[in-house]
Amino acid sequence: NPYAGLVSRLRAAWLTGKTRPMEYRVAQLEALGRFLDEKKQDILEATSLDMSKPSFEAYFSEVLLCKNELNDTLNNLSCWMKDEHVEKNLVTQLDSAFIRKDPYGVVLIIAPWNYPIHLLLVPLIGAIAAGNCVIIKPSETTKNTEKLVAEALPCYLDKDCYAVVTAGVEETTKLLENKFDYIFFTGTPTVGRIIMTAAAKHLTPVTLELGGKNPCYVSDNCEVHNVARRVAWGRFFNAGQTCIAPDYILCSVEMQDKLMPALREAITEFYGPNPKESPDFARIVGDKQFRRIQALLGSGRVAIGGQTDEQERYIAPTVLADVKASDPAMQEEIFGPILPIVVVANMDEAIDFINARPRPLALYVFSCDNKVVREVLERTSSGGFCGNDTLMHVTLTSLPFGGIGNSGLGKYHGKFTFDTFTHHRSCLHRNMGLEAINCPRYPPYNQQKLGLLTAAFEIKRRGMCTLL
Amino acid sequence: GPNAYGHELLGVLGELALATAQLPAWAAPRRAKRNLLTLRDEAFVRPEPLGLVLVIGAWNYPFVLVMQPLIGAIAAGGCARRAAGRAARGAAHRAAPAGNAVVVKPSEVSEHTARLLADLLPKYLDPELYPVVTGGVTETTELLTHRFDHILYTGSTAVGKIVMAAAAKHLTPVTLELGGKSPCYIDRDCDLAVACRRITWGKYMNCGQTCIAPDYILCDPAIQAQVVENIKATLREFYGDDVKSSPDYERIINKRHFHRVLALLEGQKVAHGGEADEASCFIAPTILTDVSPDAKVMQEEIFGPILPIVPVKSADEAIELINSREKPLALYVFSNNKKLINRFISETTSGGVTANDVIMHFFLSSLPFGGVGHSGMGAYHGQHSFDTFSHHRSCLIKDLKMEGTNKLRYPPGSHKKVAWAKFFLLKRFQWGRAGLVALVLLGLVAAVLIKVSLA
Repeated sequence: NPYAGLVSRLRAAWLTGKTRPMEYRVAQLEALGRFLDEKKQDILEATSLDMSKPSFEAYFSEVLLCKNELNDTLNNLSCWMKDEHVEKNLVTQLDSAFIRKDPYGVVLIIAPWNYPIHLLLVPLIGAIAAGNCVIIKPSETTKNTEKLVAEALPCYLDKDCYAVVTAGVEETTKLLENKFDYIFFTGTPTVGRIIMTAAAKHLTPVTLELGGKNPCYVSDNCEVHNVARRVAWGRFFNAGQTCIAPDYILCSVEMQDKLMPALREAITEFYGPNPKESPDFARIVGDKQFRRIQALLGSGRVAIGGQTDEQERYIAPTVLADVKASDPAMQEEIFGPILPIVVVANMDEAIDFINARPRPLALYVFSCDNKVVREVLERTSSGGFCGNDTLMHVTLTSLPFGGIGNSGLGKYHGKFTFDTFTHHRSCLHRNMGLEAINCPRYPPYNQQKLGLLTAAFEIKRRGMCTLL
Repeated sequence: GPNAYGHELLGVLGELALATAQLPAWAAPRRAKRNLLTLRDEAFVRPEPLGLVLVIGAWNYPFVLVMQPLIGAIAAGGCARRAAGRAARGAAHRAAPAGNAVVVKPSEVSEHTARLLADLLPKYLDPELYPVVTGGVTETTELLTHRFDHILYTGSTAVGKIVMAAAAKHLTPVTLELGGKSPCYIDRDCDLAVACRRITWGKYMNCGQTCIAPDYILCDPAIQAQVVENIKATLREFYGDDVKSSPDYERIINKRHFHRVLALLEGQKVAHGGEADEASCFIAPTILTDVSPDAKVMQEEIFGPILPIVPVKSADEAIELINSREKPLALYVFSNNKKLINRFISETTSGGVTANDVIMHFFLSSLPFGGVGHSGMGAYHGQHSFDTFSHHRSCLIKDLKMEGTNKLRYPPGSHKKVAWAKFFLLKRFQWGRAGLVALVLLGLVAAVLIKVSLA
């Protein structure tokens, strides 16, 4: 196996205990901060070359949000690392009971291409903070960013404990044959299954950040212009290549008529009359993806946009009207700048439509009536939920970010990333003395001992009295 | 008798009482700390049921290892509203989960308990939502081809891999409570009599068939003889002179395991015990001395009443030996020296630890119970069960009317906007309470300013 040597080298480094002291972890995290500061321009350039990512978007998602996570971690690391003392019962009153935060060991992070720095660094921050050694595998699809990460990142991090591996599909398969102590994967559900199957061979725990079609229900009672702006922003950010982008709209036919001009206005406001010329609109990452998304344009009717340019991999911000559930655009996660509108009669029909499909990573509801927002929230299931906006729930580091069912398992961001890469080890440190207290548990057994044990162990239901 | 009550029922009753009392608190939405941009919004995490859960029990504590997960799964279902007209088994769970439905699959090896659960549970719980499935390997393999929203499996490492591989096909999260060889280090500086009594209790309860039993002892050769004497004395205390006739000493579950365990004695120095009777699957409490780390008895989880003592010359050697093996479910260390105990905990890893006793970390429900590496993944007990069977759904609810600060994120981009974005989003340092209030005011002022400047 071509990577066996690398993995054992990192495992040997792990066994020396080098990555465990807080000072070491802080030093590595601060180095990551310097990477973000010093290589900021390179990051903006690389992502621009890879997919024409607008510099504002790149700065916001690839740099700013990462710094946020970094600072949150540095601010709180000593607190997160501490033994967590827990509530004791009668029997353990004189003992020390706590949860020790143990690193897992050698972990693997596999990042996707849509936010190639963010979706690599944010898990990495947590993995380092938790005291692990890490193998980092950036996406091979975004070649410039991959090169930047492979060349620059090792200059900032301790090469003994952190390694960057560049690999395509075949090499990644070989990489996965090795034993890791944790695997963090962001990507499609199909590959997620492959990762988890490979992990099962070694009983490696995993976090899978996957995707799906994120529904966006717009009720009749809403502020149309605000809805249009917030939805358009979420949909067309990164040319739609966002796992939590609103994938399709559900609304009444009247609302569709009201939304259309508002969406048109918002798109013009954002990207000007010809989005192709706007520096703020990205491109599709590759030819294969371009062709896949282009094929979805045949769904419903093109109400806004629809223009494409294969050479530039440009697909205009597009809104499709009257899309049916059977249309191609409703069969797969769009992951492109196309927003289908599916007409439903009312909220109940929208909820049924959503619940008939795999659970999405994100769910959006727009309504001026808080009761509507609440009802959709309570009658559906999704990884995360945002009422009256899109994407924003993932910018709060205090909210765990993850999917459910097909959209993923596990969660991260903020302390949740640290917890993801930490084994919460239960520790009970007992007293060697006071052996008499233990006597009821020893054989030979009798009813009297049992009574004592019951009294000592049993948690009684409030307001009830049990006579044994 | 009292044995089963103490080990199987007490724990379950405790968990039930805890879950019933704490459920409202556990199920309540948990408010999340907001940043400047979201100060006017509602941010919370909502614990929701996962949907359809599969609980696969083991045979060594057949009742508790099915009931404790079941309690957690039901608790995570929130208010017990019925998922009307939906067959729990194999149902593609689609509509908003009113509560978790649970398929209970007790171990077929403990067939009497399996039958009991299959007969009794439907009398108390809705069999549409909580069906009991009995059967062996074939039936379980079939069951695992269906899609569940969570699988909790208790059993061996080998089968754990099979369960996880099956779960991977459906991207089903799993909690695997597996096993391994739980080491037990006895320091020279400790109350040897007390240590040995506690170890004897944990080792020979349920005839050694406990996932967190101290599997083997590591100690200095100088105290080995004393350890053996102490354990022998305790065994007499617990089970009398004739262990076989003690009502408190269990038997090996079946012939297959009887032969498996007995075979581990091959070539070993038996310091005590060794007697066996196939007819009743009886194996006497046995101690082996001067065992080599390469011996057969040191290659697999014993899961029987055989206690090997592996002599080590120092704590260093003990730690090295422990770290050279798969991560165990439990780690035990006996010492009066607090520093030494801390060293053992810090320089090794394991599912859990009890220092100066054995087993006991299992009984504190505020401690998450689970393994790491080959000993498992995930954890449960108490609130941890509730959290295991819940989906923690992040929710952010904003105001639809106030557009204000949103404008700084919309294209077209500009340096001015970048500066504002940094101001609002970037966590530079800890904000104190007072600072937060000041920021709210500043934020409102800024929102107005932005609206004016970008208009």
